[in-house]
Amino acid sequence: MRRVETGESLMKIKIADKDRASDLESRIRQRVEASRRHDDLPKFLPRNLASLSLSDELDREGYLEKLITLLWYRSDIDTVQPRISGGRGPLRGLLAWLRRLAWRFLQYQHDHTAFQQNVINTQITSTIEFMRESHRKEVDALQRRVDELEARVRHSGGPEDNNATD
Amino acid sequence: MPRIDQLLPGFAEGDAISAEVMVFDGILRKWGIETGIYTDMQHVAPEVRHLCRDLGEYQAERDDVAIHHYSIWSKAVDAFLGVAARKVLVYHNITPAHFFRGFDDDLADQLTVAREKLGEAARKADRVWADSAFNAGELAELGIDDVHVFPLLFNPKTFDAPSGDNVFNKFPVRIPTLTWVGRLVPNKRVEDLITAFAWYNRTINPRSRLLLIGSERSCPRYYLMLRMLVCELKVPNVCFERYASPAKLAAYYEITDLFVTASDHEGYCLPLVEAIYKDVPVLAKERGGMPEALGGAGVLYDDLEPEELAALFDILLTDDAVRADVMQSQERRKAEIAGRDPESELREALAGLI
Repeated sequence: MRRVETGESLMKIKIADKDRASDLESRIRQRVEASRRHDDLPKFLPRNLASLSLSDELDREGYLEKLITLLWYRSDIDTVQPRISGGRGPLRGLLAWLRRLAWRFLQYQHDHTAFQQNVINTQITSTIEFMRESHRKEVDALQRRVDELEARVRHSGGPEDNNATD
Repeated sequence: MPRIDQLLPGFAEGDAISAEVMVFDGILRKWGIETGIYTDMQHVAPEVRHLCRDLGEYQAERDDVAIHHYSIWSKAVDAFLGVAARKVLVYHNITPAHFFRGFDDDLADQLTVAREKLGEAARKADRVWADSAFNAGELAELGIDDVHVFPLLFNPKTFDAPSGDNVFNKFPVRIPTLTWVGRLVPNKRVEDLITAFAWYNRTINPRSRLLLIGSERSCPRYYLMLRMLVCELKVPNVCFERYASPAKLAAYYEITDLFVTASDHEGYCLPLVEAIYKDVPVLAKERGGMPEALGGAGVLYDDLEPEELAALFDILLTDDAVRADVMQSQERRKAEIAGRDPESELREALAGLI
């Protein structure tokens, strides 16, 4: 569980080399509380689908494997109605209404383009995955061949013997 | 008079170690000493190739001096250790390899070797310098005690060129701007900044921007992850500005309201000094050599969750009293930085060798 949810206090803040955590902590907590009540919170994906899972100390192969999984999850363009705001100022209501109206006119063309783009994204992601599979098969075949050759060399007395006859 | 040559793994404009090498080079030439910069030409940016020579050409006599800037295992270390000249090893810190696993396994291996061989290389040197007490501490753990701390040099002339107008044209509207400067590599924890900024932008001030200035070429896989994160969080106004020339960098600092870094590992962190020099309030994580670079100025934090860090951004951007405390401390630090005399510092460090 994250510390902000347990209420435990460990924060360290120094300003001009003076410890200021004690006097800033309550202000920070108030702001955090207000942020958490906001209607437009950042949305975090589950860790296994989040881009940050790429930093989980994988190896080179593990990174690629993970990346392809993440690409599949991200290959579609979101066509859900965007959040429309009127910005600031006295005309924000009117501006928001105008923007919503403009979106209604544009939505058909947007969704049509998004559909085509999604098809292209799927093709590209599939191609990358097929290339990776093919590359892996090639490497596995080569590895098997090397193992066979090494075994044959060992069976026939090894390279030292060959050198000795030279 | 002996030659004094500098050896390093690569050379690029905007790189902190290369900048220090240039300062040393200028001072040595001013003293009338024959000097050269030797590096692996495969790792030299095209615009600065004329300043360097290939390591293969490096030769030195017993009385000459070789200064090696050590930050990774490279051909430069072999050339340094194999030469008859008297040796000065400048330790600029080695990023722990685990940060790069998966993102760049080859680099992680080079970093591992560099750490394993640091003690051996330092023991073969006649003098060892470190650019922070933090770095000297790492050497002390390996039993290397006689280390001269020579803080990384900052050349204020870097910013003397007129600021880049195209930056002002690109960002004509002044809104609260947070800026980070550095190479986009995993130990910098840029993802933590992006996450905190997502909280700040969406829940505190949607009219704000985060500028990320630095080359993405060192670790493309990490860069890809950051781009994906920005897309995933649907956070607007995160601007990847890539490498900036000194003139452009000066302009970025001029439109910045708060310099931020969440880096987990730094030997020193020169951008903190640059930001102080450009009168930008600095917020940095209390890690590695960063407290030394700040020298008691600016703001240090640790153990903050992203939403708490976002709240701290807000306080530092809006609370005039807190900002005044920060700026006052940075004025003092700026005077210290301006008061440094690199020529006497280098003369003192080289005493007995020239």
